[in-house]
Amino acid sequence: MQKGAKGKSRVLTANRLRDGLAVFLAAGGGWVADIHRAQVAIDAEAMAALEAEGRAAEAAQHVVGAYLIDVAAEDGKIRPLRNREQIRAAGGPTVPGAVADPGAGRIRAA
Amino acid sequence: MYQYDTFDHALVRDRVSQFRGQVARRLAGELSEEEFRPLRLMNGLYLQLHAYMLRVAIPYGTLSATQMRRLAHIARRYDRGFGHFTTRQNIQYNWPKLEEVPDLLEDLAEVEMHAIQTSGNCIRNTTSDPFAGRAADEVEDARVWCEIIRQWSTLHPEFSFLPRKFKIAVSAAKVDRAAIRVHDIGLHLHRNDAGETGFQVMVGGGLGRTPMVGKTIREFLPAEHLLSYLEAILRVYNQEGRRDNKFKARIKILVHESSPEVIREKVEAEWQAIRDEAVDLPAEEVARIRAFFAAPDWPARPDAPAALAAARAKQPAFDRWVKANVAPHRTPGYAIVTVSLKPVGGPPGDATDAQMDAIADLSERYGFGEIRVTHEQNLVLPDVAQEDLHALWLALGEQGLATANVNLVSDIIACPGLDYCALANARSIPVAQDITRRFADDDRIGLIGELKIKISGCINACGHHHVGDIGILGVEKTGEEFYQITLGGRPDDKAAIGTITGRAFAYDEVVDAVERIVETYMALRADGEIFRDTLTRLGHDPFKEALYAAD
Amino acid sequence: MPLIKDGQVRQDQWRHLDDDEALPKDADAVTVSLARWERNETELHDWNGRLGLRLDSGQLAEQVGDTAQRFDLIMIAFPAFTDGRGFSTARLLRARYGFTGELRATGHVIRDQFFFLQRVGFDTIELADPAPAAQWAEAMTEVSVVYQPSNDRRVTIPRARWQTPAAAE
Repeated sequence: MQKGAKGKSRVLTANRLRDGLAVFLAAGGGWVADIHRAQVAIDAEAMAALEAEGRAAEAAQHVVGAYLIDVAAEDGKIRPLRNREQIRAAGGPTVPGAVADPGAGRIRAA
Repeated sequence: MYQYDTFDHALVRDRVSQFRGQVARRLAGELSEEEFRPLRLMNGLYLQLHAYMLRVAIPYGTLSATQMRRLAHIARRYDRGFGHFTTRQNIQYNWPKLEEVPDLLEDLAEVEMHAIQTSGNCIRNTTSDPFAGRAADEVEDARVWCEIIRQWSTLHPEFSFLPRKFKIAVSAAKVDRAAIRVHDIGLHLHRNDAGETGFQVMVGGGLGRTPMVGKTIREFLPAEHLLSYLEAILRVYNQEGRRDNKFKARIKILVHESSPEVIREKVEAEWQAIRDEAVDLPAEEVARIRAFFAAPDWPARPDAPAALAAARAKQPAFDRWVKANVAPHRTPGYAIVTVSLKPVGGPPGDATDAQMDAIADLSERYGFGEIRVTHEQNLVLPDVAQEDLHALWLALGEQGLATANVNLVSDIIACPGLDYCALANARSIPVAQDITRRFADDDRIGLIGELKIKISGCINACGHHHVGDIGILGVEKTGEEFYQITLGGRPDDKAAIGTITGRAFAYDEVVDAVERIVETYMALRADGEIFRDTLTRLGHDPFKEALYAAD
Repeated sequence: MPLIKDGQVRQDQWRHLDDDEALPKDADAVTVSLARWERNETELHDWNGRLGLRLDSGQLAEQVGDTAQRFDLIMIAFPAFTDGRGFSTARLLRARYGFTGELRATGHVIRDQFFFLQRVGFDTIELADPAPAAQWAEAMTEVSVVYQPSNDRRVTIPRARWQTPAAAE
């Protein structure tokens, strides 16, 4: 049983084994980098099902370290509640990678 | 610098091939992640927030132009075009793919580089003075002993599964530029009254959750016994270090809980039992290694040339750069140049592949093809003729590498923080960037003088905030990023841990807070004082008042 | 539990006695825990068969001391492969306390530790799953050179450099 599942929405995330990129379990299966395509679970049973898929993907050497994160899901947009997960879902640092590339950073939404 | 022989090459190549096998077994499911994790960590490969991170060793912060070019190639071929120089003189890449890491390591092995033991519960990169071999105040080149330690500690069969990571630093100069007192073992090479060369041995220094300054357990250890003595310390630690609690597993906790005297007794007893065994190197091997660090043949160049003074008088920007970034060399006519990787608005310590290539070229044109990495995330060109300083400055400027701020308020040390690191609680890079923008004016930072700001994104303190004049520690409170400020830290021979000023500041308050501290110092300082002096003289109260008066 | 010895899977010939178990009449090789040994039982001292000692990871070599020479087998437990105390225990039992019998690693060790285990003096490894046995030979030769001396006979790199001057080129 999921602790504190009542009233929460959650998605499953992990890192892909081969390239390490942060990915999300998508609606319909498969792992994607775009969090907006993630499968959202809103009750304990659905969350448990997501976790089971995560374990299967780990056992199949596809991902590592699958875990659930709390999100707010509305209008087709999925937004993690926790700061750390927002940064992770954005797919890169909130600042440019190096001096010579000032335009490439993603600005964190206020 | 040291050059591999067939044995050194064999070890690194074997290690690459071994890791290639481990990766293959992992991808095939023959190794679980739990089993693979310590193995990949021992090859410097972390799994971070967005991707894997590879930490490549730069032994005692020294590399050749060839090696720097290879690091640029790695950034281009396997990563996203940049690397990050760390507070332990290593370099980190943030986007390698696991399946490509064996090839990456093979490319490194070709130029005598590796990622061995840059992570994991083993002996890590031994760090040193970035001015070693060039500064006037040293007894001998500390890196001779760093290389000796590097070899002894590589794939040590007894000490590869320690309670926790183990960091050693060596300095051989009067001024400690290697922060040896906040390392698990700090070694200070010096001469005793009889003129013999040996080590003052300090153990149990470290930062992180429980910062501590190391305790001297031996005032003088004859240099030839270094390895047997280290073996004794590691054996005591391996056997008795705590393994019940990850946050109490460093040797500093063992020293603190047993007392330095007890640890000294145990180490001395163990050392007496092993000192005549095979681990210390034969004299001819020490001599062989020492020869690699022999001083280059510096061609005679004019000292304090008139052209230099003229250029400084003519161009204030150049003059500022010389004042901040250029240090005296032991040889007349030469200078040690620190290349700042802290441009205004830039992520501290990062360099692009183009910048790395440029530095490699410049190290050959204006030196002997040698580059150093400092534990404050800058680079050093250690053999620049004074006559060439102006030309070098112009060339660096073309690459965005001429920021004149070494040791000044915008020369900020910052860990990667929550932008990259899975352990972090808050971001550190944007805070550093904002502070540099606030203090962008060159004249202003020159007036402020030496002031080290160090930022860590979590309690692990990889940004060394405990030993900054101003330390900033990112924490997470109620889901938001907050920053605790400490004052009065020092990493050198008067090593001290900074103390917290008071309540933490929100992300949008912290830069103002730092500016208030600086302005308070500027208003109160006496003639000739730098920040640290004013803080010592007046204590923390005036600064706390300035920070919290409005509360 | 199957053992690996020199890359071969072998069956364990020893009987491992609980602390309250009487010495058997039908066995000639038994092990006891250190706690039991320290109880100083007369029956153990009178035992004519082979005697082995079982150490847990926190029981260090110094606690056994020269008494180690009394045993034909010493087993050192690894509760987790990350608990590296056994490496020091083995190193010292051989190098300092003169133990010449069989040194056996039990519990959780992984194939990638085989090389280190062998270097510090282990002869046998007890494995829940015998599959890694086939990898023993490979593990022994994966790294062809060593920098530091240990309980094995390998010539270290520093020594090798000076045995034949040409070897260092």
